[in-house]
Amino acid sequence: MEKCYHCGDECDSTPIIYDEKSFCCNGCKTVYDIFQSNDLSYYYDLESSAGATPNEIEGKFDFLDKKEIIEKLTEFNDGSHQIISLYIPHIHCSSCIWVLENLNKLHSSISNSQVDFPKKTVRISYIFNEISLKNLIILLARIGYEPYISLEDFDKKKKTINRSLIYKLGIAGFAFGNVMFLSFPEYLDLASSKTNGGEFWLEQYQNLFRWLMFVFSLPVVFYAGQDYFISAFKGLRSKILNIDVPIALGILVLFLRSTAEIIFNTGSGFFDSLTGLVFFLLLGKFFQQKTYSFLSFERDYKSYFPIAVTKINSLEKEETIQIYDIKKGDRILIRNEEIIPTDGILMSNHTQIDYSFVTGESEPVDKVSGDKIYAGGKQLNGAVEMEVLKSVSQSYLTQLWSNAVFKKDASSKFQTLTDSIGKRFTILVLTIAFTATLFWLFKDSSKALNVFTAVLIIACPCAIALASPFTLGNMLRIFGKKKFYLKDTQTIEQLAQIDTAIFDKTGTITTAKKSTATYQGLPLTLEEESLLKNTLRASNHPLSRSLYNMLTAQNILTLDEYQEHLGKGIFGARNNNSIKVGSANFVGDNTTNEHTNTAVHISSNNLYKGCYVFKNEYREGVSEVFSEMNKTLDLAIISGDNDGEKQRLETLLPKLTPIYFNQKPDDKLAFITALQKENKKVMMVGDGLNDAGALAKSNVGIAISENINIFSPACDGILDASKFKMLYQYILTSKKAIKIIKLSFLLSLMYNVIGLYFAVTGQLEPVIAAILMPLSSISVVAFATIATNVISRKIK
Amino acid sequence: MSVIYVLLTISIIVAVVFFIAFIISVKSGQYDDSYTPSVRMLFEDELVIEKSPSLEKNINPNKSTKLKE
Repeated sequence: MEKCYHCGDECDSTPIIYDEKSFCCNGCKTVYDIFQSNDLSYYYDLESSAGATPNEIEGKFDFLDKKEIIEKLTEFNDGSHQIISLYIPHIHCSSCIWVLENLNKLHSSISNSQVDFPKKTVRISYIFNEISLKNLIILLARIGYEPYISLEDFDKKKKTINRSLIYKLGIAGFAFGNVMFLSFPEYLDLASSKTNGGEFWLEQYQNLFRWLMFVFSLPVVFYAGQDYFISAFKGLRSKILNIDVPIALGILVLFLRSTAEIIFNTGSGFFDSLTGLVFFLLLGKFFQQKTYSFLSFERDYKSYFPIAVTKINSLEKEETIQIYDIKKGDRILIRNEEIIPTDGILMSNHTQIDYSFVTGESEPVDKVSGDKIYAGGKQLNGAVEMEVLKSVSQSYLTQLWSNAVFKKDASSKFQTLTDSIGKRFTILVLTIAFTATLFWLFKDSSKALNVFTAVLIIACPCAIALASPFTLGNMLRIFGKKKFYLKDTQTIEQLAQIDTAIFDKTGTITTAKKSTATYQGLPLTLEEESLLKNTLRASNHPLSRSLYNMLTAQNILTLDEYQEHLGKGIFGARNNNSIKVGSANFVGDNTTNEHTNTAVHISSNNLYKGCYVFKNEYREGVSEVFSEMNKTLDLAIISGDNDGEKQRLETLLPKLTPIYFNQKPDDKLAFITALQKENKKVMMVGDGLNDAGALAKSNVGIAISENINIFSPACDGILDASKFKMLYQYILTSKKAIKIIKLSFLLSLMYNVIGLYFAVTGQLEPVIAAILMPLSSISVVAFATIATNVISRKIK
Repeated sequence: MSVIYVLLTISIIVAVVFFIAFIISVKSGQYDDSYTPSVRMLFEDELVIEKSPSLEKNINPNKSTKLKE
């Protein structure tokens, strides 16, 4: 089968041939035509078939005509020029960058556009009088780059990017290099007196060199290193000895002793070690700070909701209103595929609503006029009207978010491995420091202070503080490459500790993409099959679409007659043969018992033939993953669905795995809370809004996503659905990563012991500190990086 | 004045100049996106040739085909 020249999807049996190229649909052909006629065909040379089929956008962006909305969305707006940043999920390759940065070829009023690839955003400046924001967005949508604009964009305050870590790293690095350079004479002892082979002219300027080093170290201690003082102070105030306490102590002692040394001219000080220490520590922090800027781990309902809806006012006219302005009693129009923003009553005759985001139910629910419909559902049936019962902030869905789980920061309570070691380490170091000082007080009191400071300097846990950021930071990158995206490095530590794993069913262990159906009943003749396929072709119902894709390909025939009965089924006729596809009642079958499973019934010429029973298709390797995990973890399934799949699930899962059905979002949350009260470390794996509470409450909440660019609820990690079978490997690898950190601690402790020997015996020279500190740091970093790469080889 | 003062002054001035350049580059957002520029530079040549005519005139489907190849 031929692939579409534009989007790379497989073409139907009859591709659209245009310009000697085949296209899967008219949408793709149109985009090709636009690019071709505007001199943008280089798009296809960069990457082949990189495009997306443009979606139907009729009326979808009407709200962009409103002034207040434009004002909120744009970054800069002076009446004629506007600048806007748009999030475009489809950005994925160099072709995308190229075409979006050449938008001025499509419209001359676009003066500049710049893509930020990691964030998947494009920043466009344009002349407002010549192309309105709405037209700009429509232009983007027409070429297959439809921006995603949600309520979140409307509410978001102008973000200030925090670049302080880069500044601090730059300052520390700058000072480190210069101080090293200035202390070079001291290393080789070049400045000592001539009898020792020293250089006279260097000795003469020794003080100048030393004071310059002092000046360079000032911004390092008071600006670059301030986070450590603040963190140590906060820790002490809440009576916790975290790893930053010995670090802050080390920095402070280094600085004070070095300053004292140069004031009293007793030595050169440890400014090189001091700046180097801060530089390495910040480097570790920087490395740990890997973020997936195109993913959001903090989503709430706002990123699902549109900014505005169409209201039908008292004059029966359509009017766009902002979503917060919806009042009780308003009549609003919900278009196809739009999210219902608030609770209300359906006014149109009939519709189907997909509540899969909210409840986890995979099948759309039928609603008829007068039924109550709830916020969060996706409307699937043309345009319908509804009367609003509650304002957005009071709807069922929004209320879910008022639960306390979403407010407090659960992660702040978690004590990292580094911090728990830091506590013991601090106590140990202080004990050694005081014992050694006491000893020297009796033996040679002039050396006591020297020894005390030397111990604190050399024991500064630079390498220990680096072990964790580099191990976990590298792990985070490796996981990311294997399509498992974690919010932060702490999640890996928590993942290594879990003992209970709870799974949602729909969308998590089942796939949404391809469902399988088995046919039950009288066999269909070839002619009937052909008629069935052609009838389904015309229908947009989700079940028709999936059934259509499952049936063998047939020639395309033109139907003599086609009717769609909303909520019941479809009817097709050709050459005196007719076929009815739909619910049992619609096709005239009264014999079948009520199925808990979804089924599509078929009758030919008013004679009942049989039905296709749809089954949830489980992800590849579900059974294996569960039986592997069962060895070390407690498992459970908690589903919002009915129990129609119970028997099949039981055969798939290890024996005695608890399975709970008909669980509401609150029940799931309560279930996790109950487990945590029993001191269990719980991992929740889910996919939809209905799991959002449980995901937030659990120790590690992982969202499974078929397409990581689209919706995923607030969570700690996002797992690409294709990697589901590797889930247990990720957990095992996290456990190994913790072992690596512990080994790194041992390694750095060895260096500390060597250093302590020099310190306790009172022979610590600046050169030794200057060698030991970087050496221990570099070897720990190298060990951590190599070891993490080795252990993650198993993940495919 | 000894030559070492001159040398030290020069060396520190040079270092500080680079340091200021670094701060300015961070401030202007050059470090915010470290990936896209690496891709963008690969089609720079193409951009220069085609950008100039399209800035002068409005979109015309039939123009500048000669610029390709």
